[in-house]
Amino acid sequence: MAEQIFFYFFAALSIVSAFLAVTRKNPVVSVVWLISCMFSLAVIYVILSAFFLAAVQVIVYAGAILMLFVFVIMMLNLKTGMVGQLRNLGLKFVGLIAALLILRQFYSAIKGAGAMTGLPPRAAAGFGEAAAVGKLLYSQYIYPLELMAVLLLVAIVGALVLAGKEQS
Amino acid sequence: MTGFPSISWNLLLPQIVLLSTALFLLLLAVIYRGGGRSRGATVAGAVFSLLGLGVAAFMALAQYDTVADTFGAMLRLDPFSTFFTLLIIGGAALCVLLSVREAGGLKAMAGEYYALLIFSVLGMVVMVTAADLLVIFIGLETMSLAVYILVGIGGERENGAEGSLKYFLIGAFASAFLIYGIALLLGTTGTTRLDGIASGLNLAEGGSLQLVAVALVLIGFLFKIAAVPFHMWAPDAYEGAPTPITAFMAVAVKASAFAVLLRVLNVSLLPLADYWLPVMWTLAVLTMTVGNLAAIFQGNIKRMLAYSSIAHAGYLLVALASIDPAAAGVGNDPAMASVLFYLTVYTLMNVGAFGVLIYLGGGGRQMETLEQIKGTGFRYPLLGVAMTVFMFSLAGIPPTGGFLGKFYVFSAAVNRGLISLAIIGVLNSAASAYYYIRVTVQMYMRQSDEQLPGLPFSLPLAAAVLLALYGVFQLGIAPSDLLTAADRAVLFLR
Amino acid sequence: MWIELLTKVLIAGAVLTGILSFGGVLTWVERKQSALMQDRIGANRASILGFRLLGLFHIMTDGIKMFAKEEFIPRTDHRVLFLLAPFIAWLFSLAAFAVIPFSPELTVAGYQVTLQVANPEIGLLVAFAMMGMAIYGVVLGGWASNNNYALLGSMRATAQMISYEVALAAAAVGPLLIYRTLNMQEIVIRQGQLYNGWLPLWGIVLQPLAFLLFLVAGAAETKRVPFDLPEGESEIIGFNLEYSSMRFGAFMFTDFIEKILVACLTTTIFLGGWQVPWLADDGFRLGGALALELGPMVVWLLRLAAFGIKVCALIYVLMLVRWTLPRFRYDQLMSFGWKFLLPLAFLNIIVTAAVVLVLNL
Repeated sequence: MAEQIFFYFFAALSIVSAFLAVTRKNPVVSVVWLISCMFSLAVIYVILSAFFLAAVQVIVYAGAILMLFVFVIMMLNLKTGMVGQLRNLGLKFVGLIAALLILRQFYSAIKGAGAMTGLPPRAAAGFGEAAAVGKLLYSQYIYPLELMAVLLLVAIVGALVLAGKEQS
Repeated sequence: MTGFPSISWNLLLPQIVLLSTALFLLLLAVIYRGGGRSRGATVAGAVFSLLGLGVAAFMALAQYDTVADTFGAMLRLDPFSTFFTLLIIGGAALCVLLSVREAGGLKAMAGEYYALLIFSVLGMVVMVTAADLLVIFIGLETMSLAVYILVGIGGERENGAEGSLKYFLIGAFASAFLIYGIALLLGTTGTTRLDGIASGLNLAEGGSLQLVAVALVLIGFLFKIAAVPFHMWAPDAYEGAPTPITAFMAVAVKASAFAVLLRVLNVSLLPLADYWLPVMWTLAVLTMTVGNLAAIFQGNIKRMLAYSSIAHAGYLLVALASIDPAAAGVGNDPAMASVLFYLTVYTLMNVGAFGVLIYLGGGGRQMETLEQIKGTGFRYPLLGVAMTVFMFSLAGIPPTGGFLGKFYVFSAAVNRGLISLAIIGVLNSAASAYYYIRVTVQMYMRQSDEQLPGLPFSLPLAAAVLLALYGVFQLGIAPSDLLTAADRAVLFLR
Repeated sequence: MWIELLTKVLIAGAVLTGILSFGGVLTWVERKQSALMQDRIGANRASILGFRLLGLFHIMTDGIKMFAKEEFIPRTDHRVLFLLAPFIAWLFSLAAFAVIPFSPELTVAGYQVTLQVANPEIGLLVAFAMMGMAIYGVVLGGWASNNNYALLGSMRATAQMISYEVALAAAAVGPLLIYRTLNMQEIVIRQGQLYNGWLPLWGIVLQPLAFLLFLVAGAAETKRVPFDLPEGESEIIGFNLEYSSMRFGAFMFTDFIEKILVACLTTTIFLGGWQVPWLADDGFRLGGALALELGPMVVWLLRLAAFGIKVCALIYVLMLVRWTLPRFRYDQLMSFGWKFLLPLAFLNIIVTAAVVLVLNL
C-alpha cells in the first residue's frame, strides 16, 4: 500500500521533472530538474528491489555525470536564452505529430502487453544487492565487462587527444 | 546462471592481439624521443599496426572453419564472422597504408592515431563475432567512439571539428535509439541473445511493443550505414575528416555495420521478416535515389564520394530487401552472398579512389574539388589510369569488380520477384555513372590553370593503390573464389 | 509498524540533535585548539552573568551574530537556486548520517534498538551517494551568485570535490575486499575479530595505507585546509562570496558537519566503529586470561563512548593538520589527487586483492 503511493508519486515526479528539464530556458535549471528526475528513478529502482542499482544511479548519474553537465554549462557561461530556441514552426508541428504518434504507439503497445496488476513480486533475499550483481557481472557477463573497460579507455584517450595541449 | 562460463581462449585470439597492439601503440610516444610527431614514430606506428593486424588476420584465418560459441554464447565464431573479420582487418590495413603520410601532421601523436584506429578495428571485430545484443552494442560504441575522435583529429582543417561533432551528436542519438530497442527487446523476449530473441518473439503476445523495439534497433543500425533518412551526418563527417579516415569510415565501418545488420536480421528478426522486408525496399529506393541525386551536385570530391557511399549503401539495401526468409538453412540465399561480395569489392574501390586522392594531394597543392584536379590525368599518368579504373568500378562498368557486385545484387532482387526494385537500381546506377565519369573527364579532358607540381613517391600509398587495383580487376574477371567463400560464409547464419 | 516508525523518528531526532550540537561545540574547539597551537588564548569574551566558561558561550554568540546580520541577496536570475544552495549542501551532508552506526543493538523492553537510523545492505554506497550530492550545494551556490569570481570559486570546488571523491571511493575499496560487505553495522562487527587472540583486527591494522588515503581524500573532499582553495577564506575569493548572515553560516556549518561525517566514516571503516578492544558482548575477555563481566547496558554505553572518543580523536588530528599546513596551490592539489592518491589507492586494491586471493581469507 505504502509502496504504491511511493511509486505513483515518484513516477509522476520523474515525468514532471523530465518535462520541466526539457522546457526550461535556463540550462542550469534544466540540469537541476534532470537531477530530480534521476533521483525519482533511483527511488523507483528501490521499489523494484534493485538497491545496488539505485545507489549507483545516484552516485554515477546524479552525482558525477550531471555534475559534469553543470560544470560544462558553467564553463561555457551559458545564460538564460543563450541556448537557441527552435523557431521553425513547421518543424515544431512535425515534431508534435511525431511525438503524438510515438505516444499512441507506446500506449497501445503497453496496453496489449499482458495483464499487469499491482506491484512486482517480492524479490528473493539477496536480490539486487551488490553481491548478487557482482557475481553476475563477473561470471556470466565478464566478456561485456572487460569490453566496457576498453570502451572507457578509448573515451579517455579520445578526450585527451581532442582537448589536450598541442605539443609542438 | 552464475557459474563461470567456459572460455575457449583461442577464439578470442584476434581480439587479444588487436588489443595488445593498440595498447602498445599508445606507448609509442614514450618510446620515441621526438615525441609522437617524428617521422620515425609515424613509420614505426604504421609498421607495428600492420604487424598487429597481420597477426590478428592470421589468427582469424586459422579458425576459418570453426563454428563455436564461447563465453556463454556471447561470442560466436563461424565462417560469416571470420569472413568479415578478415575483410575489416584488410580494409583497416589498407587505411593504415594510406595514413602513413598524414599521421604525423595531425593533432594527435602518431601512436594515438594508430591506437585509435586499432581500437576501432577491435570494436568492429567484437561486433562481428558477437552473438548477443549487449556485446554488439559495446562493440558498436567502441568502434564509433574511436571513429568520432579520428574524424575530428585533423590539425589544419577547420571542418574536422564540425564533422566530428555532427557525427558524434547524431551517433549518440542513434545509440540511444538502439539501446532503448535492446531494452524493450529484453523486456518482451526475456533475453538479449540473438537466437534467444528469435524464439522469444511472439507477436500475438508481445504485440506492437516488439515491433517498436525492432524498429528502434533497426534505426540504430541503419544510422551507422548512413541510410536515408539517417544520413545527415555523412557528408560533413566525410568531408571534414582526414582523407585516410574518410576511407576508413567508408570502408570498414560500413562493412561491419552491414555484417551486424545481416546477422541480426537473419538470426533474430527472421520471424518478423514480413514487417521489415518492405521497409528495406522503401529505404533502398530512398537511399539510392537521394545518394545519387545529391552526388551529382557536389563539387568537392570527398563530399561526392560520401554521397556515393550513401548510394552504395542503397544498393546493398536492395540486397537486404531481397532476403528470402524461407531459405532458412537450406542451401544458401544469393541475396546474402551478394552482400558479402559487394562489400569486398566496395572496400577495394573506395580505398583505391581515396588513395589516389591522397597521393594527388602530396605535392602541396590541394586536390579536393573537381576544379582542382583538372588536367591531372596527363600530368600523372599512372594515377590517372588508376582513378579511371576505380571510377568505372564505382559506376559499375565491366570488366571491373563493381559491375559484378551490382550484377549479383540486382539478380538476387530479380530472383525474388522484385523487378521494379531492380529496375530502379539499374537506373540509379546509370545515373551515377554521370558523376563518376565526370571525375575522369575533369582529369583528362580539361587543362589545368597552372603548372602542376611533381609528386613525391610514397611506397605505402602506391602499394595500397596497386593492391586495390589488382583486387578490383581480379574480382571483376575471376570472382568465383570470393563467391564460394561468400556462399560458404552465409551458410552458417541460420 | 507505528512503533517502529516512531522509534526511527526518535533515533533520527537524537542523531540530528547530537550531530548539530556537536558541530556547534566544534566551532568552539576549533577556536581553542588553534589558539593553543598558536600560543594565544583564543576567544573568551562572551559571558553570561559574568561567567566566561572558557569561551563556550561564543557558540551562542556566533549563532546570534549570524542571524542578526543583514541578509543581502544579490540581483540574480536564479533567486531560488541562490536561496536553496546552502540548504542543499546541508541536507545531503546530514542525510549521510542516516547510515552511520553509532552503537550496536540494545535490547530495551523487548525491542531491538540501534543508534543507527537505517541499516541497508548497501549502507556505504548510500553514504558516498549523499557526499556526492552535497557538492551541488557548492556548485549551484557559486553559480547562482551572478558573480564571476564566485563562479570561478565554485568551479574550482567542483573539480576538486569530484576528483577526490574518486580517490575516496578507491581508498575505501581496500577494506571492502576484506570485509566483503557494504553494510555499515557488519563492517563494524567484523572488526571485532582478534588476531592470534590479542590484536584487534581494526581496519587500520589491516589497511594502513587505505586509512591514510581515505583520511586525506576525505579532508580534501570536505574542503579542509590544506585543501580549502574553493573557500579561500583569507586570500582569494570563494564560492560563498555573495552569501551573508545565516546562509553563509549554513555553508560554514556544513564545513563542520562534513568534517564530522568524514571522521565518522573513517572511524566506522578503519578504527573499528563502536568496538572497544577486547570487549565482547558480555564483558572484557582477553584470550581466556582476563575476564571481566559487565552488564549489557554498561557494554552498550562503553561502546557508544568509544565511538565518540574515536571521532573526537580524528577531528583533533584534522584540526591539527589544518593549523599546521599552508594551503595547496590548485594545480598541486589536482595533481596530488589524480597522480598520487589515486594510483596509490589502486595499488592498495591490487595488493589487497592478491593477498586475499592467496591467503584465501
